[in-house]
Amino acid sequence: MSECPHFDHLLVIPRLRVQNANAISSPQTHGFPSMTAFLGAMWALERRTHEAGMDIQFNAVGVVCHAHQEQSSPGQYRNDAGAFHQTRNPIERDGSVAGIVQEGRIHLDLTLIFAVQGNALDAATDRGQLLAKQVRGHLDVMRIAGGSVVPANVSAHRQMPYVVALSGDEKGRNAKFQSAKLRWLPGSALVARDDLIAQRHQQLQTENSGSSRLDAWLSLSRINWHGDTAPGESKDAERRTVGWTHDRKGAGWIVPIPVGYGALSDVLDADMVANARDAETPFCFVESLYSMGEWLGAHRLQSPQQMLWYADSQPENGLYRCRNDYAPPAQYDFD
Amino acid sequence: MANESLKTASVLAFERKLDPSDALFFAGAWSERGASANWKPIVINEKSVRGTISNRLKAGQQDPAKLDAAIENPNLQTVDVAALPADADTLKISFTLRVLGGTGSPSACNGADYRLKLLATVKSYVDANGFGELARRYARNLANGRFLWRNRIGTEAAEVRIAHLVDGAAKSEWTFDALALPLRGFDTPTDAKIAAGLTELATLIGEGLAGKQHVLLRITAFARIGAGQEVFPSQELILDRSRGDKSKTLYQVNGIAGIHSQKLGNAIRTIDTWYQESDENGPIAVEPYGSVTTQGKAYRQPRGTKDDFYTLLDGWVLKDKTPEIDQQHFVIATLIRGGVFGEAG
Amino acid sequence: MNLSHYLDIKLLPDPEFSAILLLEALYAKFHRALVTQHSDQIGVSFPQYRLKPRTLGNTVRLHGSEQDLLALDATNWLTGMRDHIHLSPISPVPESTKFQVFKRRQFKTNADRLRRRRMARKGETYEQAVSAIPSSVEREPDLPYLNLRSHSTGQRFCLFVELGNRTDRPTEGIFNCYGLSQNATVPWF
Repeated sequence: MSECPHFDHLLVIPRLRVQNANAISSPQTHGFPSMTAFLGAMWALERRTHEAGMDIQFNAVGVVCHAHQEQSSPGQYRNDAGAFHQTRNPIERDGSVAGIVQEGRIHLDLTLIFAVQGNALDAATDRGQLLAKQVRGHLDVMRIAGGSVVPANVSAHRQMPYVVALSGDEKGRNAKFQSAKLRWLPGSALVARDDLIAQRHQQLQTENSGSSRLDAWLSLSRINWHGDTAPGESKDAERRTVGWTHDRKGAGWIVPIPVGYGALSDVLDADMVANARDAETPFCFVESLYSMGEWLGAHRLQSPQQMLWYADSQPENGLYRCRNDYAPPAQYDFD
Repeated sequence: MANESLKTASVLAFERKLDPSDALFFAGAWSERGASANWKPIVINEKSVRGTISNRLKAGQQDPAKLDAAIENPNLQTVDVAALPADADTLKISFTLRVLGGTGSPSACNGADYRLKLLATVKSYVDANGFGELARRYARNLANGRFLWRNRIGTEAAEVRIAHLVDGAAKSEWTFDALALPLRGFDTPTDAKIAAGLTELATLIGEGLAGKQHVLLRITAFARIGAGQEVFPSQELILDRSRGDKSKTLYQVNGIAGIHSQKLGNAIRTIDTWYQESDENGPIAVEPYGSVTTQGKAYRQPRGTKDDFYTLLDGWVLKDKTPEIDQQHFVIATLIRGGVFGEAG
Repeated sequence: MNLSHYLDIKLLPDPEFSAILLLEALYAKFHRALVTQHSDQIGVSFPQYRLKPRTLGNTVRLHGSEQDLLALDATNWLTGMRDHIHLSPISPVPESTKFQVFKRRQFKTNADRLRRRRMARKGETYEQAVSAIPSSVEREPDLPYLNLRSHSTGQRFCLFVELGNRTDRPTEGIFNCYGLSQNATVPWF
């Protein structure tokens, strides 16, 4: 199992407003862009800064979301996803309305936290500040998850990017992180909860030995209501109604998320597949991989690793996924 | 040199180079434009309107209680509305516009030779013309307040203030009387002061497009339309509305009425006066087929007028048939607009 | 009364706004100008008025004395519309024209609304109100109209415009604040 690559600094870009980002993160999920989009943005940023002569290596990315507004109208029922608002597209040349390929868009207020290292950052602290500002300048003209970076409606001071040097031993690093994270409130960070799938899978198997991990994922993706004992079985003779409970209480803000791609084909040489995006990059057909995530209040993070996402590519296994090393606090079962 | 084997890339996409934010609505008094930072946001309200005529009761509805309910509640529809409050006569809308360099450089292109030829073609245009003519027109569409759309029609007065933002602060600022700049044409105004302001703004936009400097503008427009008058935010396009859903949903950002960034972009690129019926119809937004949604019409036809983007671009890039200068402006403006232009699918 | 002069306001074709939307905006301004001026001496005609297909056309013709038309123009009531119109100069009306009435018609477009009013007024039941006001009173008028917003109540309403008598001789009278009249004619040419 891989783990988060080493880094010495956190480069923080606070309070970015991203307009019309892609809200459909996979064929099965919506509500926030996929973490793969943020890893992609990180690599694009690394290429740009490298071209500009900055010696910074970007190793992982964390996302704190302060506010989000999905461009959709609620449906008629609770938990009905409703309908995405579409954009009016230009008509066809014969005057007819162009077929609409449905899109889902979302506006986001984000703080991006990059785990970085490099000689440029090891110099004096004010140099770090300058570098952070340059990086922010590059991000401003990029797309993030397909959305545009627009000026946020917060003071210039609060948008100022900065570098947190995580020097010293583990304890010292974490102390620095503890004070840094308070600046990201109010906000929530996405962490991986792969563990929940195994847990729910085990649970489902006690009821039905044929249950799969997909069943577990689907079960976690919805709210399951259960009726308690029927009136006839109740000790309380007066009671004539069934009580209903659901399985989300105390579970936290749990969401189904895509975590990368699984290969459906061999990796094909560049220029072998017609209509690929470019003729220089090898090509592989893939499908989305799914797991569970949890939105965690930034103040509850114990270490930077808990919120950072990094790439874990295993081409030999056909796996291109992103990972996060969050481990839920141990729960002791005294039964 | 024409290259017989050169083909249009099957995947060819460009990012937009004029990237506006959404515009938000505020209300205040015309005389207090100078201190508009504290103006109140305009919120959207729901209103029930009676459907017209078709609210006859069905024959089966004989239960008196139901009848009463039906009479109290005849065919009600819910719609969104937005208006100035009774104590404010002026609408303020504000947004930012980012001007990006790199016109002609595709964000996706799978033909290496085509890409080189395309870049060379755009370079030849820029070397000969710069972005002067296009920037002049974009500047005009900011100064004339075209982006106010319906809120500009019939307004008693309109003013546009444009600030060049550097590190969050205004480095320079211009103020225009929007109604003094007609929407129909792009002639240089006779008033020397207005003309000078427009030229400065155009120069800045041109430098942004050329990638010489990073340009971020903040545009604030004031329209005095009268206290209590209705204002017009963007309307949402919602497919498959179910029965009982709201029949008109207006755009809001965190509760504040707004205009979609796409609609602002459309106003800013309404610079195409180079199509055949423009004398009669006025400028239209730059679109590959010169299409105008509201008229259900495309003015640039590959078979008819042969002045659509694809015909012109293929001629220019693949066959070295350099279009007339006006059509060159149109092609470059379409690249600035951005979009997916490949031949696949 | 003197309708010796006229001027034409022609709406320019616009890629973004329909002629009717622009006409409604123009008419809202015209109405406000007449109210502010307290004028009952300016009449309108719609030279392209048609019933099939029903339309008021894209031209509004204002009729009045040269002095009244100049006074109206001096109020700058067209501010904000000038990008969407072509304005003719104020000219004398040609000799030997016909004369035409342009009047407002109000319709009972909603029987239930009338029934509810009657129930409230007379304390009748719904059934009684229905027998007094059958659904057949509802008219779906086929006249051209403008959808306007009332200045006093803020409610939207339809202003239906009907052609009255066409005559060889003018009938004098006053015009309402929409430039229409039940009996007064305007020169028709």
